[in-house]
Amino acid sequence: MSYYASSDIGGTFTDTAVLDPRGRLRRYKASTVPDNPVKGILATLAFAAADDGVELRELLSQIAIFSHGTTIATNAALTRKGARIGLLQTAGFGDTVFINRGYKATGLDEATSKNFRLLTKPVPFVDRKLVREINERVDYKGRVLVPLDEAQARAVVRELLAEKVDAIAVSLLWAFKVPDHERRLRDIIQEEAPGVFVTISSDLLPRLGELARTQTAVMNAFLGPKVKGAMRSLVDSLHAEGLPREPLLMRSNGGLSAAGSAADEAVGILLSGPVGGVVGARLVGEQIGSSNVISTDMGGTSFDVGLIIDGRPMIQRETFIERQVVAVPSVAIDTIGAGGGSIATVQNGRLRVGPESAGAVPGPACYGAGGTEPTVTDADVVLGLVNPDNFLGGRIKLDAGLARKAIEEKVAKPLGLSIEDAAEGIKRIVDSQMSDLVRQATVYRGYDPRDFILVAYGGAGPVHASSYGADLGVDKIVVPRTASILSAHGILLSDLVVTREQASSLICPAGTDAFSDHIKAEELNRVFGDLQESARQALNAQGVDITAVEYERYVDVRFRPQIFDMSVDVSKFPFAKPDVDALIEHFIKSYEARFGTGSAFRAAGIEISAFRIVARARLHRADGSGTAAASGAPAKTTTRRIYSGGAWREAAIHDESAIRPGFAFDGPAIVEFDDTTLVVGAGQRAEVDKFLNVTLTARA
Amino acid sequence: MNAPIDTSTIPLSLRAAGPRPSPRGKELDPITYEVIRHRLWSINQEGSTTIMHASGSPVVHATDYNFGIYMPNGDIAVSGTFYMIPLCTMTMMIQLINEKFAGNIAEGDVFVTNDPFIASVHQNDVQLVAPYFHDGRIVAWTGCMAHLLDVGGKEPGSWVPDARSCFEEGLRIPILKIARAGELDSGIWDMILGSSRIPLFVGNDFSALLASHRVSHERLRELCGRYGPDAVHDTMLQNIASTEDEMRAQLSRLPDGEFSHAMYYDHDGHTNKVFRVACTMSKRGDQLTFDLRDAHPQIEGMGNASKAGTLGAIATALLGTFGQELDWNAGLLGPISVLLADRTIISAEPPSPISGGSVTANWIASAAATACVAKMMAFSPEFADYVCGPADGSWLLAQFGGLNQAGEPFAIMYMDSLGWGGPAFRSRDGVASGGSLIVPAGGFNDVELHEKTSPMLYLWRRELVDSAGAGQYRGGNGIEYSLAMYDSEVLFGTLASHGVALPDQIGVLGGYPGSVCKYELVRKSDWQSHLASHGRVGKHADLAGERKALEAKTSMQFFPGDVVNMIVQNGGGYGDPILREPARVAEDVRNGAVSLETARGIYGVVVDAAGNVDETATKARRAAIRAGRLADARMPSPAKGKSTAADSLQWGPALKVGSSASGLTLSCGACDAQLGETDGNWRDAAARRNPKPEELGPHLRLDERFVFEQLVCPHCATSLWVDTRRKEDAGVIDFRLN
Repeated sequence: MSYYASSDIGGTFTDTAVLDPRGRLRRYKASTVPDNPVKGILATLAFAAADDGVELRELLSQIAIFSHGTTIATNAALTRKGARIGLLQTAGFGDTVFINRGYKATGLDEATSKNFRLLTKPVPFVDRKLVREINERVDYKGRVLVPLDEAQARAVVRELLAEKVDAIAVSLLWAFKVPDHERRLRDIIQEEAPGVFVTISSDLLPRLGELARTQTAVMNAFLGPKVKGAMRSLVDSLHAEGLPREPLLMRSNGGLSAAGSAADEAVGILLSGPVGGVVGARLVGEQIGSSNVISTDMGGTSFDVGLIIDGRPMIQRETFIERQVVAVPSVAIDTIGAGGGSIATVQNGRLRVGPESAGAVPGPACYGAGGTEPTVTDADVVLGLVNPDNFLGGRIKLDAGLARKAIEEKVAKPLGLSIEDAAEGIKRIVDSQMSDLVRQATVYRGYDPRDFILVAYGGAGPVHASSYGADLGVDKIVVPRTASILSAHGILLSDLVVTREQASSLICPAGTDAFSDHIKAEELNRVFGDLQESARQALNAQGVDITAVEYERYVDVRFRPQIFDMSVDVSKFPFAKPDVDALIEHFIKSYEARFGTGSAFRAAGIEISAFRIVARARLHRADGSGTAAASGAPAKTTTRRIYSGGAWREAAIHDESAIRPGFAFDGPAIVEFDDTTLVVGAGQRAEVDKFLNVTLTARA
Repeated sequence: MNAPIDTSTIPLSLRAAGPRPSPRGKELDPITYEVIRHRLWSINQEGSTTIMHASGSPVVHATDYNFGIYMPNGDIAVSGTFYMIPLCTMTMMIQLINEKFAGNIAEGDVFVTNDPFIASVHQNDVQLVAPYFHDGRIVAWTGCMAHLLDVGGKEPGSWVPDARSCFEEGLRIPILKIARAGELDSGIWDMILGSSRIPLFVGNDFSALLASHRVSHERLRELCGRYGPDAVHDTMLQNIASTEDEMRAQLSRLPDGEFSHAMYYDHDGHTNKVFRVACTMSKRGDQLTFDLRDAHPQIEGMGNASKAGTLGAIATALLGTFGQELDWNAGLLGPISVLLADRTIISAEPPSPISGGSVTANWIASAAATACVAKMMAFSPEFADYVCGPADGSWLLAQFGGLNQAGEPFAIMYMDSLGWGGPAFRSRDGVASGGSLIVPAGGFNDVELHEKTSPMLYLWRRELVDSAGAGQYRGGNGIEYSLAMYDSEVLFGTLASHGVALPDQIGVLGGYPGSVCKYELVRKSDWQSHLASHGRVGKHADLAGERKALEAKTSMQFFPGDVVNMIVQNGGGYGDPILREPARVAEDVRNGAVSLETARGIYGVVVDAAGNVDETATKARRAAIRAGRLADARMPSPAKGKSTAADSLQWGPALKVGSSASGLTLSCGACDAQLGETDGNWRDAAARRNPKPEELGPHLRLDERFVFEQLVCPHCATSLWVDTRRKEDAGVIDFRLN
């Protein structure tokens, strides 16, 4: 008789999903207290306890697993409130992150990247005055040209300590090949100042490329002390309130790990919250019986897309935050500035939407908080899709008059359109931007969206999915009942995951197809064997009972003269000789799927450059289908006019009681949840399954 | 000695010639238009990333490539943000194909050229364009290019500084079909690969370029399938028209007049000769004409650019200056015409050498054009934030080849040279180590990637203190990188640039020029033992060996022990440096961007050991700088005439300019002092002086044939303008307002 609970601590709200002893999935929301995130968690759990008529302490004592997602690292990075850090680099290369390999446009949208006077470099997370150069040098073969000058290093470390740094990052040339100097520097720092947080690049990212390695190490040092303090306080508070076990934390790699040790790889929790949603979408996919899922999260300011391929979240090796790279493997999330708050503007007869956002303050015009720019949410209100009296369960009353006024003045009049047509135009443009992003995430990577289901969540996702999903031609658009808290739901049902990576160079020379003669199966088995052992030990150290562990294996492969490589999923292990040939052929096939038939440059030879293993321990829990309520007709159905396709139409309006297994209805229709709105398009049919997912399909 | 002006020249357009295309479908609603426009940009980006991902070349990886979508007539519709010049020359290429291959353009065809005398920039920049057909009709062209690392010729890497004709250089491919109806022409493929020293790399790059067409055509097919080919065509058309409207409106809001600037190109690959290129820009209503006929005749050495390369460079400068709020497409170039004389250094024809055609005199022309635009925009409060000096000074070529440490043939061009400092603006400093406009979204590779694949070891790669042009806002400091021959017995290298004899990135409105560039060589140096014994090589001067200051252009062999240090030209300042806030200068000192000596000597800011400003000493020092300027300045004849009227125009922070019966009435923008009337050249009303290079910046040099000319207010001594002039040349007249 246990509870399982997960919280997703967002900037405004803390969402909590609770799986109760009867197998019912319940959802709670409370305001986030930024200085003390535990308060939001406890507030939601107190609601749950009250619903069950028990004391909070009693409920906590019955929680078997508590896990959570946090924005603490992301916020620290975005607000630049992290540690005061020093950076040690090889002599001659202390400007690495400032030079940034000359790039100034990375991460900028089209308009900004074409505006020369706005084109400036990202600001690094280390102050230039706190970078020190160390006498040492290793070459490309790992030969030591200059041994580490320990006396100089120690003097420099003391200088940084005198500058009162909280953390020091160390990133030396070729350290991924020979980590000795970085390790020795770590020892020296710890001897000089045991309390200072240290990150060495060769630990975090043993891979060629000093810029990514240095930026990642710098970010880790910047975040480390803050994450460490926050996690310690969260763990202590939850224990003090009665939680018996170690809380778990969602990591960017799509899995959970012990919260207490999160700071060692603080850069690994930058996507903690958003990744929960992708994992949640994967579970929805499992419930629907589909292993290929496009997850789409539309909130107030951004639209995030993730992919599940063959039941696994797609992994990306680099994430950009504040236009700087964090190169630890994470669930791939593509994002654009398109959300409910995106502002519509007319310039020279052209209507554009975003990327500027009205944000939460002043917010869309209809919030009545002083915003006068028309936004996507204003358009949704004008079109009758969003009920002004039931936005976020009535927590915010929207003013439809202000929405109409903003759209009339800023869009309808300049374009000579009716207010409704202008609103529908805004919606069409933002919907097409979102489907363009999904296309980039799928088609441009060689996948056909028609082979996927699309899961929509976030505050605005269910309002818009019927449109952008239909545009993509997916068979099914699925909105789970937990759409507004899908991250918390995903975290609730996540696995423990450990990722291990190793750079390596295995080469098959130009001019031969006998791959396995040159790239030996035994070598692959040895590297993967070592990685597996290391991952297994890390899993065991999490303090959670583990039964079965599954391993996913990937290699990074490229044609030899290339610089970019492609990750290839290795299903078979251990390898026999023919498996190696099959692996390379699989790479070539994937490459041609991505770049077109005939694009593979076989004659150039093949190189495997890195190995990666993802070890996954499933934590067993009920699936939440016990939530199912009574079937039959919904309690309350009314109608309302909505504007679509250039005309007002009558639409059925259901409340959340419509979400019961087996209930099916045709669009145009709207389901008003407490915390979001589901729109069913005119040509669509909606059907509720036993997990309370609503699936939209095109009506025959 | 200037070239005789050929007045017969016909103005050249930067758009495709012939009638403007007309819409094909019914009227587009603004919503569908925006939906398609957004998708086209996303397709364009996909084309770009395909090249980058599929290419194996470190040079392509470091963004020496681009991708664009064009109208059926060749007008550019959607432009990528990497190497810009060829994006514009592909318009000419498509136009020529439409003429030469009329009736013979089929679905699946891919055309190639790299011939600068036809429609390219230099031989390394290979351009591929392909028509996209839908329902049997061309809807658009896609165009892409990349710098291929070797296309033959007498030097590895195909840059030939000492060539006397183009016949000593790499393969020139006329416009021809490399693929016919989807089938690769293996004969042409073999011919191109066969002329390269590194066929494997070149073949890989060609695969990448072909893949980008394939991928983008698939996306266009989907888009046209969804919205119809006419809607896609008309969206591009309307986008161009809308940009052109906005461009014309911008021009209309700027003052009419003529604006001039002259620049010099140094070293022809044989000797250190200099060549002048002057630009006069006239602006009438919504039209802009660049008259570049006053340019030196074509030369028998490195320095020539073809008409295509020059027009491409001018177009690039315009996208960067006028295009800040506009979509980049042919519409922006519609109101522009360019006058070029025949067979000048910026309109060279065979048999002129042309291997440097991407980065030589056409950069000078484009810098002069940028300076003219700045001189005009400085009159407009609306465009005051756009004003900056030339963004791109020179390409500091560092090309090496031979056998690498694995004994395989290799060629590499270090794109690190892209790390120059950008120009300052009215309210911000220039971008350090990456300020280029010519590759706006570009950058270069990791040190580790270079060391892994090429037999050279970096002693440092860092930003060079004091290398930016000083100013109220300063330019960006630039990169300095030092390479030691390593794990190789012999390498062949080509080091070629301009801007060694004089700086090209001048400042504006009283700001100072950025540093000149240079190559520093030490033969048979002790770098390895120095490194071992000292733990680092602090600076180039610390090395023992045979020290040699290289000329602007050399090709030579390198042997073990040789070290070469590369210093680039950098962004010019904006406004007088003694007007820079002292606190900013102190912060620059603490950050290592400005030295204590420069803070004191040039900015007049005295910073103490703790890094704080000594206010009293600063005040005194700045007064001394002003006094020093007036002490050696040639004063204008005493001011006469009436004061400037209330409706006079402000020329940046430097001047107030009004008109009078005899010409201009002028007053100082800083102290308001009346400078009097002149009959047309404002410089006649200012005090003139010829500062020594070191007075403007520690990394500045000036050939003895030139002088720096600084114009200062005869009353308050504020710096109003600084540039260079060849001693025997008359200066230009910066502006004549109508």
